[in-house]
Amino acid sequence: MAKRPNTEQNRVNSNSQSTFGQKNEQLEKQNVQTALQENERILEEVLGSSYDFVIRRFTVFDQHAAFLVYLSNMVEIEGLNEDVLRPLFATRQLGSVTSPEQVMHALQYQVLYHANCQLDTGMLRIVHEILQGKCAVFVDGMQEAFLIGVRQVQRRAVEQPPTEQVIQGPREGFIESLDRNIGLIRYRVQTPDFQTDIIHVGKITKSKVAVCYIQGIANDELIKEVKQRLSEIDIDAVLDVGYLEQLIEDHPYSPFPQVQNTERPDKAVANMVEGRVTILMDGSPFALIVPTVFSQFYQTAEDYSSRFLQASFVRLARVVALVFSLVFPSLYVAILSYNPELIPTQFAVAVAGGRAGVPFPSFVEVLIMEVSMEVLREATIRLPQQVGGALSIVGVLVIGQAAVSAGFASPITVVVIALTTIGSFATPAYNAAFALRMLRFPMIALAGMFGLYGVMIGLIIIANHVLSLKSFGVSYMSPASPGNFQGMKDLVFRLPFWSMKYRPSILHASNYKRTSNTGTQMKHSHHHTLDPMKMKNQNEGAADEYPEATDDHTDGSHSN
Amino acid sequence: MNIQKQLTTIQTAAILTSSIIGVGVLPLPLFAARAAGSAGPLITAGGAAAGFLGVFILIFLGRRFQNQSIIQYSPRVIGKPIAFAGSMLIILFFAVLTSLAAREFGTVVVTSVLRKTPLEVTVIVMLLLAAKQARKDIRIFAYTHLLYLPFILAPGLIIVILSLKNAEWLYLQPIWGTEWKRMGTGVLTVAALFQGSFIIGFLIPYMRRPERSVTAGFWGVSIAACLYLLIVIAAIGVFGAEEIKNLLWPTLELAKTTSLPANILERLDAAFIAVWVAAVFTTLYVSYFLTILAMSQLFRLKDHKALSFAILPVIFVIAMLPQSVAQLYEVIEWVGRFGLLITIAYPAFLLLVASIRRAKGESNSNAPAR
Amino acid sequence: MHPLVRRWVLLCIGIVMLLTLTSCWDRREIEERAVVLAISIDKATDEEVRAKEEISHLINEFPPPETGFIKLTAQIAVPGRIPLGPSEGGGASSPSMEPVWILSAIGYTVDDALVTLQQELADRLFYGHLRIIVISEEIAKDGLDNINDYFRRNPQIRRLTWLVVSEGMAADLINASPELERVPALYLLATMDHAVELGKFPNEFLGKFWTKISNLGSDGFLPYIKVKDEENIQLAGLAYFQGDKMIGKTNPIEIGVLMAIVGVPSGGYSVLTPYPDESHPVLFRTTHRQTNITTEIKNGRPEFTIDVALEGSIDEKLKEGIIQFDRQSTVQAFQEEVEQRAKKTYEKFIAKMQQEESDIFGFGEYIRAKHPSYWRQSVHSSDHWRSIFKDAKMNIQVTVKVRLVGMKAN
Repeated sequence: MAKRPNTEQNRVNSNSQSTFGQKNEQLEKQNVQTALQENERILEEVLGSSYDFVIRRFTVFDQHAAFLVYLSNMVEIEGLNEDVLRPLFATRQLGSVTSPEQVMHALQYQVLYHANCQLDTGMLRIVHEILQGKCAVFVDGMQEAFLIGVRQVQRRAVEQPPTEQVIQGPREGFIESLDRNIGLIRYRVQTPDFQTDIIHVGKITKSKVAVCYIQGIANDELIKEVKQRLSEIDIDAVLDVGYLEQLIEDHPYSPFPQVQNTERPDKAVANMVEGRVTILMDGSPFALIVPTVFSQFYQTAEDYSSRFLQASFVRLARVVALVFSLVFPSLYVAILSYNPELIPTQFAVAVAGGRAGVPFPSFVEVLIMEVSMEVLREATIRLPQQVGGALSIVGVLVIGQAAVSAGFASPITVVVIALTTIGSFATPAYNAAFALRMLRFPMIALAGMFGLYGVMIGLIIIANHVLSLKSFGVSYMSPASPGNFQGMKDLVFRLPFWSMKYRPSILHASNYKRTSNTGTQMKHSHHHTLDPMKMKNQNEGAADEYPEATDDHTDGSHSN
Repeated sequence: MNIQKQLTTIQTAAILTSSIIGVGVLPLPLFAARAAGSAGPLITAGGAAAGFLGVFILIFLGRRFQNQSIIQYSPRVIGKPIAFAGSMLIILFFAVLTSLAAREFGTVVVTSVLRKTPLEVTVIVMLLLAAKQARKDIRIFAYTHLLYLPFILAPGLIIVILSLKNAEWLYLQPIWGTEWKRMGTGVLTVAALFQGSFIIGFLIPYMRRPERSVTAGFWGVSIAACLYLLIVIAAIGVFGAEEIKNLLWPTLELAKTTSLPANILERLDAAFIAVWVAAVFTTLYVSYFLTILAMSQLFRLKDHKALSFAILPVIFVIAMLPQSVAQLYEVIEWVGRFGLLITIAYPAFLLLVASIRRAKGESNSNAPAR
Repeated sequence: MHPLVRRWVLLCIGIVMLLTLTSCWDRREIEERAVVLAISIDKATDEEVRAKEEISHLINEFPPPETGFIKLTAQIAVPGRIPLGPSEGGGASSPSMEPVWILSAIGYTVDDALVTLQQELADRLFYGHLRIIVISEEIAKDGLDNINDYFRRNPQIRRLTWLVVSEGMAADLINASPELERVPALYLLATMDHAVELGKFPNEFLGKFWTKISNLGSDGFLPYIKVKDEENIQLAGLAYFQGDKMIGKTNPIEIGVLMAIVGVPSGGYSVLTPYPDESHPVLFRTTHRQTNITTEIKNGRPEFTIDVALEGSIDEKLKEGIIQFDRQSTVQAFQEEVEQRAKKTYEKFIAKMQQEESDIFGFGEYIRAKHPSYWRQSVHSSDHWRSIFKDAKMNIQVTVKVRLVGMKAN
C-alpha cells in the first residue's frame, strides 16, 4: 500500500546540503531509467520529503512491477481510482505480455483510456508535471513514463466580478484557475485564430502565464514584444498578474497605470478583437490588457452593451467625475484663499461666515480632511464586512458633523471633500482613480501656494507628464493627442457601432477593418413589418377573435 | 541621425496656432485701437496678412529643401558666413522672444492676480515648464500642442461670445482708418505677434507629407488670426476704441466684464489668466524649443536635450532686464519690429537667392538628412 | 539612486520647500479679508479734515485739494453674521448683530482715504466684491477724474460694479437699512439689477459709463438715487454728465424717454395718457421698444432722424364709460394719441439735453461711425462735438402699437 517515504534521515539530508535550484540541476539530465527502483529512488530524493507525496506500487499484466506517483492534495482521488488504477489492475485478466515494448503499447493503446495521457522521458519534466497535479505511472523496464491528468485544485465558482459590476451585460468574472479563464474566453471567441502561448515566469513559482491574442488582428511585433518582456522577467515568485504588470510596464515611476487589468472575460475579448494582447496567469483572477491608453480607464464594458446615447451620456458623467476628483479640492482652496472675487457675492460672504471660526488656512483644512478621508476609506476596506458598512456611514456623518461643530472644518469643505471622494469612485478603473487621487495632494499644495495659477501649473505638469508616457510604444493620450479622428469616435462619446468601422489605428492591427470587406452596413433598413397598414387583414381577424380586447384598444388596433 | 517623418498636417497646424496664440492676446486690442481706433480689426487683419506672408515664404523655401531646416539649408543658399550670422540672429531673437513672453505674462500675473508674489517666481515657473518639456522629442512636441489646442481656443471664444451681448456695433465703425502711417506701424506691431509661426521652418523636414505644408500653414495661421480678430472685435465693440486706450490689457478687462450665465462665476479675469497659462506655455514651448533646436542644428549637436537647461539662466536674466511695464512694452515693440526682419525679410531674401541660383535640396524625400 | 527616484524625491522636497519658504505670498483666506461691499464718497466737512491723521502723507506737504477733502465710507461684510444658506432659525436681527460694519475715513484722494481706512482695520481690505460705489452729487459735480483713475487702476475692481449718484449725503445711502435684505449693499445692488430687468434703467454699469465718457461722441449718465424715510431707496432719475462732471439730473420718467430714444429693448415705464380727455386718463405701459437712428449731414450740420417704435399694453383706466377697448378703431385712436404725446415728450427732452450740451444719447458716435469724413473735418474734440450737438436738427417719429388690453373685455 501507499508508503510514506519521509524518513527522518531523508529530511535531514535534504535540509543540510540542499541549496535552491540544486534539485533542478540534478534532474536536468536525468531520463527515466529502465530499472524501476532507480526511478523510485530519484523521485524519493526529489519529492520524498513532501508529506503529500504518494507512491503506490502494483503489477501490470501480472508480472511487471509498476508504481504510480502523485501528490495527494493535487489530484482527484476518485478519478485516479476509476480511470487509472482500475484499468491498470484489470490488465491481470488480459493475460501475459512479456517485452517492455509490448507492455507499453498495450498500456497506451488498450488500457489507459484516460483522455489526458501522454508519455515522457525527461525526469525534470515529469517531476514538474507531478507538481502541477498529474500522476505518473512507471513500469519496470520502460524508458518512458505515463503522465495522466487527474489534477484537481480547489477553485471557487465563476462569480460576478466584484470590481467591475454592470447593470447590463454578462455577469461572469475570471477566477483563479487559468484553465477555466481560458475556457471563459474561448467560448466567446470560437475561432482557431485565438491563440494562447504559455510562458512560465518565476524561478520558484514557475507560474503559468498565458499570452492570449487573436492572430491576424493583433500586431505580430506587439505579440513578440509582450512575450519578450515576459520572458525577460527575472524574479523568484509571481503570485498575481499585478507582479507582471509592474515588471512589464514602460514607466514604473509614473503614478499613472500603463497596463489595464480586468476581471471580465467579455472585456478581455473585446480588447483582443480590437487588436490588443491579454495576459492571464494561473492563480490570478485578473487579466492584463496591453497596450493601454488613458481613455480605457474610464470606459466600461457596459459602454458597449448599452445604447450609444446612454453610453455616451454616462461616459461623459464619468469623465466629469474623473476631472472633478482631481481638481475640485484644489479649485476650492484656490478660490477661497486667492480669488474669492470669482464666486457670487452672496455666496462669498456666506462662505466667509462658515470659515470664520476655523483656525487653519483653507488648504491645511482641506489637506486634513482629505487625509482623514483616505484613512477612513482604507479602514473601511480592512474592517470586517459587518462593521465596515456601519462605520463608513457613521464615519462620514458623525465625523463630518463633529468636525464642523468643533470648528475644525467649515461645512462647505465637508461638502467639497464628500463630493470629491464620491466622484473618485465613479472611475471604473481602481488604479487610474488612485493615480488622480494621489495627485490631488500636490495639486492642493500648489493651489495653496499660487491659487488658480498654481492649479493650472499643476495641471500642465500632469498633462506634460502624461503626454510623454507610452504603453508599448502607444502614446498614452491617444487617440486624442496624435489627433486620430477615427479613434475619437470612442473617446468621450461612444458613437454607434456602424460609425466605428475600423479598429483603433494606434494598435496597428494587422486587420484594420472591423466590418466585412463587402461593406455591408451594420445599420439595417427598416421594414415596418407590423405596421397596422400592412397587418390590416390579420389584425381585424384578431380583433374578432378577442372581442374583449377591442374595447381598450379600438384606436390602436384599427388603422384609420 | 535619421529624421523621422512623423508630423501630420493637423499636428503641424496645431503647432502653428498655439505658437501664435499666447500672451500677446492680452494687449492686442490696445495695439490695434491705438493704431487705428475703430479700424482695429483692419489692423489685426493686416498683421495676420503679414503673418501669412512670413509663413508662406518659409513654406516655399522649406519645400525646396524638404529634408532640412532653415538653419541647415541656409549655408547652401547664401554661403556659410552669412548663413551663420543669420542663424545666430534667429537663435538670439527667439531667445529674447522667449524671455519677453515669459516676462510679459509674469507681469500680468503679478499685476492682476498674485500681487505679492515676486515677479521672478512667476517668470521662472513658466520658463521651467517650457524648459522641461523642451527636452522631449519632436513627437511629444507635436502631441502636446494638439492636446492643448482646444484649451487655448475655448477660453478666448467663450469670452468673446459672452461679451458680445454688451457690444455696441457702432463702436466698430468706421471700419476703415485714415492715418496711414500710424496704421502701418500698428500692422507691424500686430504682425510681430505672429512670429512664433517661424517654427514652420523647422517642422517641414519632419512632416510626413511636406507637400501639405501649405494646408497646414493656412489653417494654422487662419485659426489664430480668426481668434485675434474676434477678440479685437469684441474688445472694441464692448469698450469702444477710446476707452481701450486707457486699458493696459483690454482682453483681461473683457474677461473681467464677463460673467458666466446664472452668475456661476461673476467675473472671469482670474479664471482667464489661469486658463491662459496653457496658451502662454505653448507659445513659450515653441520659441524655447525653436531656440535650442536651432542651436543644436547650427552647432551640429547630437540632440537638443542638454541645451534646454543650459540656456535657462540666460533666458531668465534677459527676462528680468526691463525695468518697468512701460519699458517692457517699449522693448517688446522694438524687438517685435526688428524680429520681422528676421522672420519675414531674411527668409524672403533666402527665397529670392535660392530661386535665382536654383538651389534645391535632395529630391528624394526619404533620404536621411543631416 | 536611480535617476527617476531622485527626480521624485527632488520634486517632493521642492514642493515642501516652496510651501514653507514662500509662505504663500498672496494667500489670504476669505475670512481674513475685509470684504468691501459698497463704498460711498462724500465731501468732508472742515471739522473732519482737521481730525485727519498723517498716514499717507504729512498734512502740510500738499496744499489742500481744490475740490476739498473727501470722506469715504465703506460697508464691510462681517463674516459669520451673514448666515450660510436659508436663514437658520430665528433670523431676528438684533442691532448688535449687524451683518455689515460701516467705517469711514477722510482723504486727499480715494486711495489716500482707503489707506487711512486700512490703518484702522485688522484685516486687509478686499475690493473684489465691491458691487456699488455711491458718490454724492457734490462730488460728481466737481468731477470724477480721480475716482475713475483709481478704480481703473485697481485690478480687483469689477467693471460690472454700479456707480450711482446720490442726492445729499452718499453715506446715508450706505447706512440705509432696508427690511427686505439683511445686507444693505446687496439691497442697493438688487435695486439696480432689478431696475434693469424691469426695464426701468439701461444696463449702465461702471464699465459702460467709462466707455461713454471716454468716447468723443457721447456723454455719460448715472443713476440718481435718493433715500426716503431713512431706509428706503428710490431711483430718482438720472444724473447726466459733461465729461467727468455731472451737470444735472432728470425726472424718473425721463429715464424712460432716454431709453426709448437710445432704443433699450425692454420697456418698463407706464405713462398716463388723458384719453379722450383730461378727466379720463388711461395708463399705457411700454413693453418693447425699438429705435432706428439715421443720420445725415445737411449744409454742414448733422441731422438726426429718430424712429421710435413702441409696443405695449393698456394697464388700467380711471373711469368706466366713454371709451371701450373692444374695437380696433378705438385702440387705433388711442395709439395715435400716445404717439402724439410721446413725440412731444421726446422732443422736449432732447431739446433740454441739447440746451445742457450733454449728449447722453451718444448721437456723436453715430456721426463718428457713419460720417467719418465729416467727423474728421468738423469735429476736433468732445467739447466741439457738444457745441455741434447743441444745434443739431432732430426729427422724431414715434409709432405706437397696443397689442394687449389685459384680461378685461373692454
